[in-house]
Amino acid sequence: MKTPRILQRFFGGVLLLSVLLTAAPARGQGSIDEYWSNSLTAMNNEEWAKALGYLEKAVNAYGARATTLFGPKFGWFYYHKGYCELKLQKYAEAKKSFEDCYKKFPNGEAAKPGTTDNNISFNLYHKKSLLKWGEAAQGAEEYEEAIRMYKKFIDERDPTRDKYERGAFYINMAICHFKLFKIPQGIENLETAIKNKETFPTPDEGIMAGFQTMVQAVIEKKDEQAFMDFLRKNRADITLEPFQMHKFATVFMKLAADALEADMDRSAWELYALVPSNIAAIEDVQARKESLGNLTRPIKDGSKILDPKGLAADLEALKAAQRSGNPNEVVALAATAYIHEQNRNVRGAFAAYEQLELYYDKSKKREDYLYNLVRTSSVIGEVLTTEKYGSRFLKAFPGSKYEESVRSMMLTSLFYEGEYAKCIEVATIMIDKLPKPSKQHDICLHVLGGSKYYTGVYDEAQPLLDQHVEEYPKSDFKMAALYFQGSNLSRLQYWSKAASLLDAFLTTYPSPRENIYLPFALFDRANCHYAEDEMDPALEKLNRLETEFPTTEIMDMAYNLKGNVLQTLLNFDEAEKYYLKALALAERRENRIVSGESLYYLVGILGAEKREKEENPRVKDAVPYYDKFWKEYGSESPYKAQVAVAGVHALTTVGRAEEALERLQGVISELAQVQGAFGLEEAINSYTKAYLKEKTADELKDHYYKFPGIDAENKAAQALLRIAIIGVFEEQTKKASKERDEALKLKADATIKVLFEDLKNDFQPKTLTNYILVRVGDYLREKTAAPRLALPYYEEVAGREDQSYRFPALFGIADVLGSSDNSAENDKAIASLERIEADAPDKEQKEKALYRICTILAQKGDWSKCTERCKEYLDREKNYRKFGSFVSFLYAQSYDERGMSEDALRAYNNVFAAYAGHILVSAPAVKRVMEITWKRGNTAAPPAKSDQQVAYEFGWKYIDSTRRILGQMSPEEKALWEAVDALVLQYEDDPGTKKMEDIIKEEKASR
Amino acid sequence: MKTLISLAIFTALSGSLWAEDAKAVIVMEDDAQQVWITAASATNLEYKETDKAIDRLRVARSSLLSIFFYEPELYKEATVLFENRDYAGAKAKFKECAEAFKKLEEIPGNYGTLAGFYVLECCRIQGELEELAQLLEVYRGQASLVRESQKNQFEVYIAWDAVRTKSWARLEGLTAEMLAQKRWTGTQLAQIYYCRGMACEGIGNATDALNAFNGAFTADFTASSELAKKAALACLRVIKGHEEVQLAMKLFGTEDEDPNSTGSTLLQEGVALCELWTKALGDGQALPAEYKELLKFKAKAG
Repeated sequence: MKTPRILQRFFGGVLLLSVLLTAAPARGQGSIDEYWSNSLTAMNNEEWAKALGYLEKAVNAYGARATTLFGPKFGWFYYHKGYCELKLQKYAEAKKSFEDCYKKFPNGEAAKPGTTDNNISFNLYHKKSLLKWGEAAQGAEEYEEAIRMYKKFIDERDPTRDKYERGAFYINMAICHFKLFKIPQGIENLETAIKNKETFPTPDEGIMAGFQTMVQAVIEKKDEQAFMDFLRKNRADITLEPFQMHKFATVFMKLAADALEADMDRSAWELYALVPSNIAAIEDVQARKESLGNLTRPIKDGSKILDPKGLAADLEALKAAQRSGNPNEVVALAATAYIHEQNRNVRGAFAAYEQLELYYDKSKKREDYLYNLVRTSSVIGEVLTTEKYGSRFLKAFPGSKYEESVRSMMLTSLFYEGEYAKCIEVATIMIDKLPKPSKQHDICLHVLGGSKYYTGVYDEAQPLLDQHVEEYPKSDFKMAALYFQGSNLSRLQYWSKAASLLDAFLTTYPSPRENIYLPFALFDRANCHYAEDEMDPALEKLNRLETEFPTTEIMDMAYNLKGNVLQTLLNFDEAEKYYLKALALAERRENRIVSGESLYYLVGILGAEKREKEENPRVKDAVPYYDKFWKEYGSESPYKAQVAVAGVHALTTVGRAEEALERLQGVISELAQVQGAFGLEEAINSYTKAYLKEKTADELKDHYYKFPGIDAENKAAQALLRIAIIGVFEEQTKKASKERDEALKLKADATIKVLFEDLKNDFQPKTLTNYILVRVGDYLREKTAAPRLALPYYEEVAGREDQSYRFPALFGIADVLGSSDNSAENDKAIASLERIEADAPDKEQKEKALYRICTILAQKGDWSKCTERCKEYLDREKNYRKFGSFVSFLYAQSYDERGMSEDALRAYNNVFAAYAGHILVSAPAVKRVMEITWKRGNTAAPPAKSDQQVAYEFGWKYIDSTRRILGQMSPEEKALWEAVDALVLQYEDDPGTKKMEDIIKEEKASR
Repeated sequence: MKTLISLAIFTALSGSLWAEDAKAVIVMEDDAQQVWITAASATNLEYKETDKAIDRLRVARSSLLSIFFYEPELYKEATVLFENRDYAGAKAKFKECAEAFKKLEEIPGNYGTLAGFYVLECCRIQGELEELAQLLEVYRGQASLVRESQKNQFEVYIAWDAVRTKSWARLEGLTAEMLAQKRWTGTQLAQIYYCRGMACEGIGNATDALNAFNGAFTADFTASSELAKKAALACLRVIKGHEEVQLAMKLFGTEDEDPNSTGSTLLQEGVALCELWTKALGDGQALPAEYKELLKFKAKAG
């Protein structure tokens, strides 16, 4: 521990030279007088080295004989020699001089204090040299010795003559004790100096010197409590007015930094708090300076000295610090930020850095502080602030070493805090301005794609995610990017593509330690399996989730999905168990949406009318879950419509049908107010069904045109109600057809037509839900002569983020375009159908899509592909049946068109064999078999038959076997059948043909 | 009649007991003189040349370049109490001082006005906002205050008054405007941040409240010890009352705990603040029992 400069100034400045002038020097010794006189002059002029020169010469010349020549008074030379050495910081020499003064020149018995005899040589400095000896020892950092000398001085001094500055004495005693880490003794002395500040007096500079040494000692000893206790007792004496205190600011700042380094945060803050605000110091100095007007001399006010010159200089220095932008507060605030962050209160660090930026934005370390502000704001999730200060940083410090980090934090902080809308806003602007490839572009692309993924804008997310994976295969975000890519595809219902990407992802990143997306990917993959009716692998993934990631945040959702899978596998008890597990977990986690979803599944599974075609014995068990749902989640759950629908049967069973219907009506009214509300159509359909149990279709129509709670302006809901009415009349049409009630059929058809026309004319596609759009589209496509009018309805669905009814819409579009004569439109239709065939969750949709592909290829005349796709359809593994007859015929036709007669013949034969009763395909197939065989014209010797005879007989037998159903045939079928019949007759008339009539006769005869 | 006379004498005596002459130096163009000022008006100064003099002299204030006031004993005593954070004791002494030098309130830099200012500060620091509102009517001496930041403090009192009346929405806007200005000392910033924290908490904006309260205990490095403590406890109050924190506490240590959730993050912020309270922010005071339970939720390192 070095003695600080402030101490050196202090303990050296207490000697009163005027004392010398009154002391008697040696008499008439010639040169000794000269030494005395010259040294005195030099000392008065503060020329310590010069004075020391004279004093050394005097001591060298007379020292050995001094006691004889001059007696004790020669001690004056030794004392002042020591004094000069003290001033020149020659502490060892000074100590020796004071020792000599004390030991060699003691006053004799006669030299009593107060003697008036001028002949008695008297050493005025004998005892005082002890005090100075102490100071010299203190300067030499020999504190034990210093304390000993100070105490000896107090013990031996003559109170009347040996005056001393008590304030300085106690401060020095305190300092020596502190230097020896005798903290309590040091504090005792310091407090003595402080308490008697006015009477001793103790200058403020001295108190600060003692305080500084104490702080150094407590930091060294890590005795924070001693410091705190001292401060509590003496804060007022340590806290000077700003005009005084600012002078010690540097010392306090240094001490605070030392305390910080010693992990004494509280002490550090206390020390920083002692530093006055620069503004307050400026104002205080200014006020005091102005109060002195044009005075030039200092004014003493108690222990304060107001020196106009000093105040002017201080004012200038303080203003300069303020102008420089680096007042003390900057360092203190930065340290405060450090303390908070070290103690894990990052928000505190953020607050301090923000103040540095707001109020000290000219500081020389602004770049660091502003960067730290961006960083800490990002850590605490103040994303908009990160954005704001990040932008400011980039503008103020282009090319900074922090630039890249700031850019990343701006976007990534937004992203990781889930501010996806803001991410999209920022990244959309940024992305085109960034160099490619670059780290910034990598981040921007990742954040933009990821944000679109998280906000459900899956269509727009996909190309960005694909681009990221392709362009940045080594990105830091590679794992996330691959996951988003696969997961996003699953949300777009590209099940097979998503499945393959998710499989690759799971293979590439199998370790849960590295892959934070692993449970999510397993969940998504299970969902793909479920959508593709792959229940066993779905279960396998969900079981993995359950065993390997039991605490994952999507576990409650996974339980629900497992329940769905088990329910599909008709394992109702297990499914119920999993819905209950999901409910319990979601409730524990207060995940209210999932809780509501679980209750919906429970009401659905327990309240269903049938279980595997049998009466469901558990129906009543659904009621408590229905009630729980409405009691606890009914006000907010997105599943309220589903629960209202699913619970109708259960409530009806327990005699609460009216309540169920009321609930349903309430839900319909409520959901109708929410644009695009999920489940509204199901609710209306269910309500319709329940309503019709008691009322007629016409009553329903009237009721729906004035449905309670849905006004005429609510187009979406109105349209849904109209569709529900249409559904009822469509049922009527079917029933009328079956019962051959033409009048009823006509009426129902007319109502349907009017309702659809109303829908088309009264409602803009944008106001309608996907369900309605598809229904209207389907009607226009299938039931009118202008199917292309359906396109805007389907396209509206396909263009929406809402994925519901996407596949039916895509099919509608494909169907219309597929019927076009335009080859490009046909291709577009096929592409759309391929997508449906690959990804539609509904097997029927897949089958229909493949069938339609076959028909469009046939229409296009692309027979080779047609053969291929028909073969695909007919593949037994696919188990497609619905359009089997037509596809079989197309398959045969494709060979036929390609000139592959034998293959065609075989295929047509198969059509006939499998679908003889299906005249629409069997008749043309038989006709082509006849024609091809006839044309082939192979002859044969009896009993074998020629091709032409075979062709004739084949046709005749077909006509003969199907003639009995001629009356039931549609005109189209009849025409096809008649064409075969005509060909049979034509062949029969051929001279080479042996008529069947004759053949039958011959056979009868032979029998 | 006798009683009346006694009363009159007593009144005169008590008046003289309270009023003190102010030791000062009056500085003129070519002279300066130590005086004891006995009274002052907007235009004149009445003074004695010695403490015990009977004659009083008058001088036009326009003829003076400046007046230097010596620090009165009463003011010194009050300041010692204030700096030692005995604000109740300091308030009484400052009040006494303000009363004693009331007659000088016209003169810039007088200790009576300054003492009045510190009476308000004592009320403010002790959270005596009702009294602060009342005393603001009494100590309206901004004109005689010579330090700009002290004059500015009267604007900060407007924010404190909004705290008193719980006018949260207005206070939120007001503090936002104030923070946009660059004229405050650290101590004033601490107050503005604190008031803002109260406003944000009042209108249910927990995050902004936390940011503002953190601003309060960082702005002057805890020099405003009382305010720093209040702000730290306010943070703990906001954190503990946060719905997501309550859920995080419920799930803490269970398999459902999500350490990345907002609730968990805030909970750990609360734990850090509790520890910081004990280490430094609490000024040696024990952490209030209601927040001790937060320490049970300290996340394991790593």
